[in-house]
Amino acid sequence: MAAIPPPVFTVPPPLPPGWTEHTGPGGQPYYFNAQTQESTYVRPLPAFPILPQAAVPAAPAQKKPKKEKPAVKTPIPGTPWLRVITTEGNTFYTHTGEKRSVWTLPEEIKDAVEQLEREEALKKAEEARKAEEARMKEVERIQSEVQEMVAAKRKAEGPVPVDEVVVTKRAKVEDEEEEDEEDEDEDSEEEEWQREAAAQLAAEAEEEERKREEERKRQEEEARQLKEAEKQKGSTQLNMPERVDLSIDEAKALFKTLLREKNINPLHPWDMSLPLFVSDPRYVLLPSVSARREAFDEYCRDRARELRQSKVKVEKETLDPKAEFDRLLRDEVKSTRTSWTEWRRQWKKDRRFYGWGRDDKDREKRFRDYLKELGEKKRAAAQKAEADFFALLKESGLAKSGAVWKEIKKHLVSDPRYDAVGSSSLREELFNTYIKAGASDPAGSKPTDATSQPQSGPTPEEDEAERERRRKERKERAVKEREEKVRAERSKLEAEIDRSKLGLTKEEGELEFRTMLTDAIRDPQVTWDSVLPQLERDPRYTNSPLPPNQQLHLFHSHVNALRTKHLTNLHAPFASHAPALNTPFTALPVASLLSSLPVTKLGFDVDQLEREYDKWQRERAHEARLAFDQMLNENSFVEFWGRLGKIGGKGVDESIKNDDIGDDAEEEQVDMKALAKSVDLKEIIKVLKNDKRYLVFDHIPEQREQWLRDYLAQLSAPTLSVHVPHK
Amino acid sequence: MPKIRTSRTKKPPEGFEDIESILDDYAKKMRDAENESHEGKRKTESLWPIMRISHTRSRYIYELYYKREAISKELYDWLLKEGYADANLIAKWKKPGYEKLCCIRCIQTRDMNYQGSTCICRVPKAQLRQGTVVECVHCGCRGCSSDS
Repeated sequence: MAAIPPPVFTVPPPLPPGWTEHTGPGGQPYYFNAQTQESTYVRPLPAFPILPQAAVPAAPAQKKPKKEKPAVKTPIPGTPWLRVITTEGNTFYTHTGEKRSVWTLPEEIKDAVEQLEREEALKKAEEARKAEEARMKEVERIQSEVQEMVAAKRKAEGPVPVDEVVVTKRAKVEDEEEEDEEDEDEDSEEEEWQREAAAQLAAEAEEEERKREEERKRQEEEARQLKEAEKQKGSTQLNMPERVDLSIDEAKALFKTLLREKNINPLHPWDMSLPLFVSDPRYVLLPSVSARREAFDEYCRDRARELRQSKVKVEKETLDPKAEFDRLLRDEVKSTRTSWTEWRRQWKKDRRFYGWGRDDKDREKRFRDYLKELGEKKRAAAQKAEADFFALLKESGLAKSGAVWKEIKKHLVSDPRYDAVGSSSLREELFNTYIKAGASDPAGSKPTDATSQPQSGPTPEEDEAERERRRKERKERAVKEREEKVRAERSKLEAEIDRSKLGLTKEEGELEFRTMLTDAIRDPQVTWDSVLPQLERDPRYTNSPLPPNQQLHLFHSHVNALRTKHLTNLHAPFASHAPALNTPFTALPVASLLSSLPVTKLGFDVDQLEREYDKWQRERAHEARLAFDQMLNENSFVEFWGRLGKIGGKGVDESIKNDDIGDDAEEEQVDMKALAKSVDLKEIIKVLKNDKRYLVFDHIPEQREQWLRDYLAQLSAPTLSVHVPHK
Repeated sequence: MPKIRTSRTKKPPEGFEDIESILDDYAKKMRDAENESHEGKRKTESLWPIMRISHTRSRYIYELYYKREAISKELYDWLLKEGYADANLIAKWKKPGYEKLCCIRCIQTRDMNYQGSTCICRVPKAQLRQGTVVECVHCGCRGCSSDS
């Protein structure tokens, strides 16, 4: 019942020896007795007889424990003894004569004391009866007493100073417990009424003292309860145990609100939760432990259901899969170089990942989009950082042309804008560009800029222009390079096509050139040089794919062909005019021949014509000779008889000369031999004489006969066996 | 005794994580009780703390499911299967007259001195002689009849 509660106020009563204070797992202090191995949440109080001076401070108003003093002294009639009731409510007996005090009732005065008590009880009963009469039909005696006390207290209120009040303490554990609970329970806002309560209590206590001893304790407690009830009325929300007035349901409800206020976890066991609320005054509202447990279970059921529902709701709220996926992207994709496959592998088992999107294709698309966004964001940030960096340089005023970056750097390091540019090399580069821009700046644009803007503007603009220009240059260069490359490639390709085409068109070109030559050149006497001008007018010549030496070759072959054509044309009249091999040139009609077409074409004069004629005759004679030999070969009569004639081992001439030489051969053979001998040159000539090829050589009969003989002579004898090889 | 959970065992049902710390506490207490010395204890006494912890844990799970309805059927079944609670004991608690039963052994009638009787702890307080303190040999129960 601490009445003055500054936040750090509580000076708890000292613990009895053997007890130690500890802090439990829930932050709740508890007390342990090493001797009895006992532990409790309820602060143990020293028993009075053992340690009277260590008692709990009586009045909560007092800051330090007050020494126990005799409060009420009652002389016991008929004896020198005094009965003393102390401020703590303890009773002892003092012998006035001997100055001796004892806690226990001495035998000698026992009867007297008993009588005194009987009297007191009587008085009290009478008082009670009076009170009952006064308040008519009060059912509960306690209640009536309380009300009586209220009335009394109201009367007594005021004049009693707080300090003087000595509140007796009951040694009853339950009461102590209640007090402790209240101590802990108090808030600063309750201070006021607590103080008031103390005053009232004090007043009551004062009044009580005048009353009888037995009633005193109980009344005091009840007065306190009552006062608390009053307070409850005054400051509405307070729940103090007023056991009497509360129905079971109300008590249960209050108990549950207690649990709710303490936010007891519905999943924790009763034993574990108990220390969290056992010290609350509302704990005792319910009459039994089993009722409390029942209420606790009910509370837990409700609370668990609530929690489940709220959890479901939360889940539902967070269950927008698209938002979840986006959040995952935002949280987990930090670099634009993140690879989809890697990222997917890492997160595919995450609900946020697979919760959204029809398939991986969808997700990948979103992922790529996000990378793009991220890239843009980063670029913007980088640009901003650069601009800020320039601003920083400008502000610092250190960056003049000729300044060295390393020196300047030291002064700028501490600025956040310095760090904003991520790379140190980039910083240096920016610095250099700034210096360069600064060098060109003061000459041209700076004055105008300076007028319009206080110097912070132009640099980024300048820089912008510079960058723009550089970008353009780079672009042009790239385009040029590309063009060159394309051109080279194209020419290479064309060359290749030409080469392949050449192979294909060579024959075609030859053919075309030849047709052109046939068209253009009819005269066999022309030369290349003379004909060239004429050819050059022809498109077929100029477009010809053929190389010149081939053209020349073609030209010569063409001219030769023309010439041979004309010569063959010339040979026809030769043949008609000279039927025999021995016809002399003079026998020919030379004049007419000279005027004939082939001759004029060939441009022959008489000598040339004669030479040509001789040549032609030679060729004809040669051919005729070959034809004569062929004729002899073809004729089987000549061969057979010629060979047969050889069998005798004699030459044809001989056989021809000595016709009747017959050897000792068989009859048949003799006959054949005879026959062969009978076949002589004349017979052969007779066979051959109608042949044209024979007749051609009529003009040289001796020579012809000689050829015939030669032929017959070179014939060998017929092989009689096929196994004998020919010679 | 709960089974040992590893990374390969099946994941517990939803809601387990909320009561896991409490069950861990019980497990810790159980270990302490197991390691406690039995010096100076009677033969029967040595098992009592273990019986008590096992009973408390079973009771806790029983209350979570039947009294407070704070855990799902799924989780409850899983807890029984894993041995966090004694299913047989819980089955008895559901019967009238056995609401506070301390252990199954105490209602076993077979091995009693008087055939057909149960443990002393089953006797209601009112029927005992005034001032007798009983501690049954099986689990150290001091009385688990429903009306005491």
